[in-house]
Amino acid sequence: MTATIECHELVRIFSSTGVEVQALQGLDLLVEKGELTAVVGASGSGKSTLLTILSGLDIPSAGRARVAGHDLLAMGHRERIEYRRRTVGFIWQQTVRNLLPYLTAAENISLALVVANWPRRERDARISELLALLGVSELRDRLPGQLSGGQQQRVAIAVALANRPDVLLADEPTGELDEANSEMVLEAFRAINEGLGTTVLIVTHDAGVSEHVRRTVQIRDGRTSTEVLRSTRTDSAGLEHEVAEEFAVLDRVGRLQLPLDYIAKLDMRDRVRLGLTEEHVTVSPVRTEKDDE
Amino acid sequence: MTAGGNRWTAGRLLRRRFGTRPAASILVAVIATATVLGAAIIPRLIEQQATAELTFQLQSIGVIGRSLQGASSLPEDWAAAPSPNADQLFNDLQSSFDDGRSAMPQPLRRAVGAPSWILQTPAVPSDQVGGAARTVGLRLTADRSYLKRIRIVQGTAPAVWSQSESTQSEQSATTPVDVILSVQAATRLKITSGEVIGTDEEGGVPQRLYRVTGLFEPRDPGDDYWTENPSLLPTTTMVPEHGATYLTAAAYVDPQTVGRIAYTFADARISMYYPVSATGLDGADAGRLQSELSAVKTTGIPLSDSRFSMSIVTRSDQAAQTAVDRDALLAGLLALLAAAPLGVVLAVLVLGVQVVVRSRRTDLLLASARGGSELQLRGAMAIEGALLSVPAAIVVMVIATLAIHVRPEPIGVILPALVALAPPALFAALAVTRERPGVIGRTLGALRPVAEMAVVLLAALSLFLLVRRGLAQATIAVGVDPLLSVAPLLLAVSAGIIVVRGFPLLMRTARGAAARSRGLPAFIGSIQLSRAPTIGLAGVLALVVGVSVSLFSTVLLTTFDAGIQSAASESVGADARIDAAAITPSQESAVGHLGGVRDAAGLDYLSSLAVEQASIADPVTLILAETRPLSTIRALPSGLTTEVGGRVPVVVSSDLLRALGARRTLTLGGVKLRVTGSLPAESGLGPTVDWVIADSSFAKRFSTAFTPETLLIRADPERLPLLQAPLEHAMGADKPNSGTTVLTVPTATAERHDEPAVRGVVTGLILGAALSVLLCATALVLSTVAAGAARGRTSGILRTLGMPRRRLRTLIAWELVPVAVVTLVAGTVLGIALPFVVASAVDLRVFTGSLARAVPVIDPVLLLAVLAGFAVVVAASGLVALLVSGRANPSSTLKMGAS
Repeated sequence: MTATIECHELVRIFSSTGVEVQALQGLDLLVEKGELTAVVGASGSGKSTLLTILSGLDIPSAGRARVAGHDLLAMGHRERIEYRRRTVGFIWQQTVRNLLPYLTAAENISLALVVANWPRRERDARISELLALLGVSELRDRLPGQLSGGQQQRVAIAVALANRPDVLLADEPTGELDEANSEMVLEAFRAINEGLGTTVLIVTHDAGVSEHVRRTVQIRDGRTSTEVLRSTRTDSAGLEHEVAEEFAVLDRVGRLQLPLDYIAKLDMRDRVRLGLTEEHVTVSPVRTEKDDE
Repeated sequence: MTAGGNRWTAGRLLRRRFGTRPAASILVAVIATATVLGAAIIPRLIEQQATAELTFQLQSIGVIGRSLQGASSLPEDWAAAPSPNADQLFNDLQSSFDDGRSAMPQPLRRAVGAPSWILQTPAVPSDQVGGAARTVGLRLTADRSYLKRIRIVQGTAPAVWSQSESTQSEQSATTPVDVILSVQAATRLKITSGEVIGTDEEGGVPQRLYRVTGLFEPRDPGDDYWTENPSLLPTTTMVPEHGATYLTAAAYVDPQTVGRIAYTFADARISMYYPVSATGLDGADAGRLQSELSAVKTTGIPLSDSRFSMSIVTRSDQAAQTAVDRDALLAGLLALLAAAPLGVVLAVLVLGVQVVVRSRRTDLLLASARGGSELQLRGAMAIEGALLSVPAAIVVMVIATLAIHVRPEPIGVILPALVALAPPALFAALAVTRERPGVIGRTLGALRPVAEMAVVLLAALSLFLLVRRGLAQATIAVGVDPLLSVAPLLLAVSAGIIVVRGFPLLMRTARGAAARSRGLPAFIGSIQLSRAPTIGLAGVLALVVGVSVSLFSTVLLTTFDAGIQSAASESVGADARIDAAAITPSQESAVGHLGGVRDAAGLDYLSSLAVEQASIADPVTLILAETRPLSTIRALPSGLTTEVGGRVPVVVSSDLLRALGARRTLTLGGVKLRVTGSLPAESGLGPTVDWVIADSSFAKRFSTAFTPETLLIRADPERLPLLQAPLEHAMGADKPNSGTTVLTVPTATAERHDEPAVRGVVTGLILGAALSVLLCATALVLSTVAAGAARGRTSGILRTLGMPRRRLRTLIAWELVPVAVVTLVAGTVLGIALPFVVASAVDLRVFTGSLARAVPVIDPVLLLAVLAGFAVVVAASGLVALLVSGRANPSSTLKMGAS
């Protein structure tokens, strides 16, 4: 199975007026085709930067990034436009950035179709299909201002899906929604992922989202630190259990991030001692002379 | 859903967008349409103006001055021919002149009418009239079509002479030649119809007899034919070298008679003229017309029959030249005036487009993120821009073409088309399609200081060229020189750049003080001014250019008015003047007693008197003047009425004084004179060089009687404007053909104001000033409206912090007032300096006709009024900003700010 999204040692440095900010510091991420993945991280962890790079709006400073066969660093102007039109669809947190306020739901979808030169005769059918898929057919002629937050986001998903993208990217799609609406939107993502086989990557700081996805990747300081995989297991009694396992991420050159509470508990600083046993690696704090006293 | 609703096209989406927030778009459309209107109308008006100027100049020289006149004698062998054939001669002449006309190049041929010619002999004196001894002279005249011009009021038309001079016989001497005279001439000559003039024999030599068969009157007295041939109707006094003077008159003979009295007509002159029309010409042709006219003057008209070749006299070429010069200078001046407002229009257009583009930013960014290509997005913006300007431009151009009839010139289409294409180009160029500026944006940003430097250098260069070469020379050589025309704009832009660059420095200093003393609005206002000014370069530019152009126009207008006033005074020479062949004492006294007339000084001119002194070769003009009243009009020394030591005291012209050197005495026409003073040669007294004024009481010393030809009048300033009609009435000048002209300074000024070129300049200046104020207002409102969103955020934050709403007004005042004050000061300095530059470069005398070069006249009241107008404009745009921000709700602006 090939990875649809493949990031390796991804670096993005923003520089303005002499100050450099390293938003991504060698991020590694692999997402298989058809996966539904959540990327979580605190504010400023670099998750939004990752998403703008994946959506083709920004170019990484270094590293490697491939999405559905497109090399995001080497993409030319034409390829980038095609990439935005057909390879990725995205939903942002703010509905104003997803939908034009003066266009109806149907017209907003048609904008994406017009931009991608979708055949004229098929546009109407496609719009109806998408509205039906997201369950918002009856809202077709309403302006965004006449829709609830959840409805707006579902129309936004329809717009993002308009040109049958391989990958759907969403930045905090539930950030402005209440619990019920969030639930509805996340279910929509899951349905699309399962029904259409579209690879979905949701970026959020809301830990609750991870409960709806199979895989959750945690970003810390511009790098992937841990991953949680959810699976359903059937125990010996025949009862289904949802199992969530958390893993630390080890990159290709062997770096990993230790959880902060581990570090605090053992009071590890600056240097640690590594030990290799037959089955595992140990990380032990270095005892200085002062500590011995 | 309707069928139309199923069409999911880009057009539908564009239409939807078009209807959203249309205020700024409408404003852009209005500015674009107004600019196209200007671009379509102004070249056509200039064209029309050129036509009016050409017509005016040609009309001002009169029928005779205009026409192409030529004269020649008959072929030498004419009378000696075996049988002189009048028909043959007339046909040769007619076809030759006709051919000459058809050979003329266009546009000259269009202006020139059908040739008209007469044959006329010198005066033939006869000593008897109706048997009585009395000398009259007849100028025998032949014109093939004379019967069409005249109406015989008494008697009959002359018959063909039955005899012939070639065969000298008894009978030929006793058979009179039939002639007719004009009623006017016959009355003066005291000759009636049927009378015979002349004797058949004098001292044994056969003489010619003439019988007056009838009297005529012109069929149409207004016919130019009578003006062109002034000898045909009146009598002329002949002063022979020896003997008494006698009267002569033209006498028509039958054209066929010319062949019979061939010897008499051998001395005849052919007087031919082509009438030149003053109307129906195109101003654009003035240059070609002028060169063709001067070619005709120097090389003559190529006639098919070279026997009749003649040199041509006309003043049309000079008139056309004047029109060409004035047109060129007017076009240059208008370009100078228009360039700056045009620059501001562009700046305002850019501002307006920026406002629209800013409102489309989110849409474009979203469409771009969804894969919209640059071509799609900028194309869509260009279409939006084109919809705002192109349809309106087409309508405007059609209307302009229909309303102003001028010959279509490329500039009349190209200029409006360029203007109409500006909005789509600006929409496409200024559209923001990505979050961060691309390579082009960054490069442009980096190039800005370079561009600003270039503008300042160009301004200096064009200023240097303008002062060095002058607009006049430049325009005559190359039409409108673009680099010179844009000098005011470049200077204004430079001033704008200096303001924009220098302002933050100023504000940084102000901020320190503001932070300590004046509270929060002052603090934030001054920070905002130095870091994120509401009025950017375009706004500052609009203000500086607007203020400077309107002040420039105002100063130039007052200067121009002063020039015209002084030219009018110079041409009149006093408050009013009367010119006549002779002014009688009763007329003079009638004028002197008119209400409003303070003094009237009579002047009598004795020309061409030789000065008996070697150093003065040219003859001088003696002006006999009533020096007592004249001394109230001109500064004259006293004692001009008293002879001292046998010498008549005189005042001489300055050039004559120079020629006299250190001597103060001279002898003129045998009279000894003593120079008691001098006046500038061009004192408006009459001649412009070499004149001497003596008091009228010395007329006898010069063997003449004092009969004033000119009255110079000093009048009550308040009643002067109303004096024209009473003066005319007193002189009988209100009757037709009185030969008396009355001119007061107000009338002369009004006449000059009526000249097309002067009207053009004045209209241009007033429009320039008005347009600048309008543009400024638009630029300011646009700037403040464009800054509305940012202001909303700031005021939102401040209001959440608890600042009362009324103190927000202080914030808006801070946004506008300091920039306005600085730009008003910069604009005022520039606006007052520019007229001095222009006056030194452009010779306004071409329009005003005054003698002295114009020095800018500054009318402080008018300037203050203009500046006050600007203050009102600034205040009004502040009010608009206040109204807009007053509607803003802090919660919504803050939420908008978050997005």
